[in-house]
Amino acid sequence: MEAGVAIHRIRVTVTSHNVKSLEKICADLLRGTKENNLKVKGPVQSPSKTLRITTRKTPCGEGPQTWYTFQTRIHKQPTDLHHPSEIVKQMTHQCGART
Amino acid sequence: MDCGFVCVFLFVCLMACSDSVPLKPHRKKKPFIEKKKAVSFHLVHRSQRDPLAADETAPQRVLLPTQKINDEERRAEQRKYGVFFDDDYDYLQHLKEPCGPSELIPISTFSAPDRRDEKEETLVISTTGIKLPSSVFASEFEEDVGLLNKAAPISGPQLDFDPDIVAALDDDFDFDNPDNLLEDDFILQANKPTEEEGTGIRKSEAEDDSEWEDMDDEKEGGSDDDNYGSAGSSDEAMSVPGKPPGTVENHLFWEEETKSRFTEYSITSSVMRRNEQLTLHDERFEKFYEQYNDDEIGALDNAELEGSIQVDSNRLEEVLNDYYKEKAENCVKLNTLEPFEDQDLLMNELDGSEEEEVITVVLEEAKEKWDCESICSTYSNLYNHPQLIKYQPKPKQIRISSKTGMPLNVLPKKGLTAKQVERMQMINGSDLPKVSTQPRSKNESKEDRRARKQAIKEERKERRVEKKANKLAFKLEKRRQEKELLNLKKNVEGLKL
Repeated sequence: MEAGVAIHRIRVTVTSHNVKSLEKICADLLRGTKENNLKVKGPVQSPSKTLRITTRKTPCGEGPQTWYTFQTRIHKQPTDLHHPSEIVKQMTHQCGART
Repeated sequence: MDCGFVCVFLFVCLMACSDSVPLKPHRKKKPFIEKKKAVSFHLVHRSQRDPLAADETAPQRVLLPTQKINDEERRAEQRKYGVFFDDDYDYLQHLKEPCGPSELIPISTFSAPDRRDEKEETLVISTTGIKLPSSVFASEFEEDVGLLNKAAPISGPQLDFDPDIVAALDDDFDFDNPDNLLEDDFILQANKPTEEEGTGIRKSEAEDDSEWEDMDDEKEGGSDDDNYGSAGSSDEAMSVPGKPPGTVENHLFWEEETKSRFTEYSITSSVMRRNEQLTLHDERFEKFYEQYNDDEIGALDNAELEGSIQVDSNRLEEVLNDYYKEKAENCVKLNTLEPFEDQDLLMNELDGSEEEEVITVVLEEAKEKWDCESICSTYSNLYNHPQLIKYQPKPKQIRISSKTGMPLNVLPKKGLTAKQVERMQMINGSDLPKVSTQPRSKNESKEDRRARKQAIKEERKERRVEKKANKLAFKLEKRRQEKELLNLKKNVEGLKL
């Protein structure tokens, strides 16, 4: 451990169904970090997973073979930060306030 | 940010930092976080039971450490207990060790947690020695009832309302009773000096067992016009204040009997919070129930259910009279008389009974008279759309031509073909003027006449020759075609290839 402020390596993974909100939070994180002039490796775009459920529309077996294809996409963006402990608190507060 | 139902999961992995090594091109990249030394958290909302949930300065999100347990290890553990599923679900959370005989340990004096104002205590996470400010984590102390649960509205019967409100909510409340109506200026009346209201409440102990409606009368005071009862009771209300303050003061503490008739009864009633109104309610009920004390109940002379009764006694006669009255009423109610089938008629046995003559009256129901027009007028216009009758002549029968087999007069008539047009334009020998067709001139000499007649004869001769040739040609052609058809029929028809 270094003398002075202990800097932690933090990997923050933000997961959401909604890309816009995800982007916003990552932007906030980045902004917060840049204000404090800390090192950050920006949000990494990991491939979004699509969860699919394909079911028949009908409650019975009768009728034309129509199917629903339900989908949700999960987007994940891990961000690497180098933050001291105090900033961690600020970050959680900020992230909480934003969502 | 307004995102509606947004769920964002923040997963935070922390690791104590060491200096980063400059990368060499062909070397494997050092991972940012070494999993073995790292600690992970989820960023979650603060629990409602956390006292800091109400605090605006404290962050509403806290870090919750995740339990990292390997899938394989977990499955092995599960199999030990007979759970053989191989999915990702943690069945161990539903398995609980049976707790052995528990031991009571006295707790040391319970001290409320200090509020962490400015100076932050740091929480050290044991395994890795990472220090984080404690406000980032959930508080250690949790209340029993969460914030939201406290704010939840109470449902169900609430007896701590004023008794007149409780009475009004009751099903049997008589809204038409003028005593129970509110005054138009009830707010003004309510805002008058409170001594009237206060004594109204305390008055109850001095009264006899009163029903809820009586309380209404007294509280609303003089209500509507012709209500002597309420006027009387309002006077009573004014006069009574003299009494209760005295009686209340005399009520000494050690004289109060704490045991009630209901102490051994239900558990739920003891759990409900007892405020002033409810205690009042309890006491009044006690009073009311005093009526049913053994010594309060009067003589039981009339309560014997066994025994005999004389036939001549008054009571039996009264019963019989009531019975007759009922029967008489029932007779009136019937529209059409039916033969009275009551076998148990005492009437026949007793003398002085009413004698009825049974007359059968046949009632004919008034029949409605209908005629065509009125019936038609009852038809709804949804289905009945009167129209003029149109004349539809009989459609012509389709005739088929014997030659072609196609229906006549259906297909459009064909115009002339190109060949026909050409032929028409050609000058035929037949177009030449014939002598027979030319008109005879008036002044005709003998020779002319002779010549003309000769010419005509020749024309006829030629024509005869032509005709003969034509006839022959046609005959031959016909014969040929018939032969062909016959051949076809004999040889080709029915031939399967």
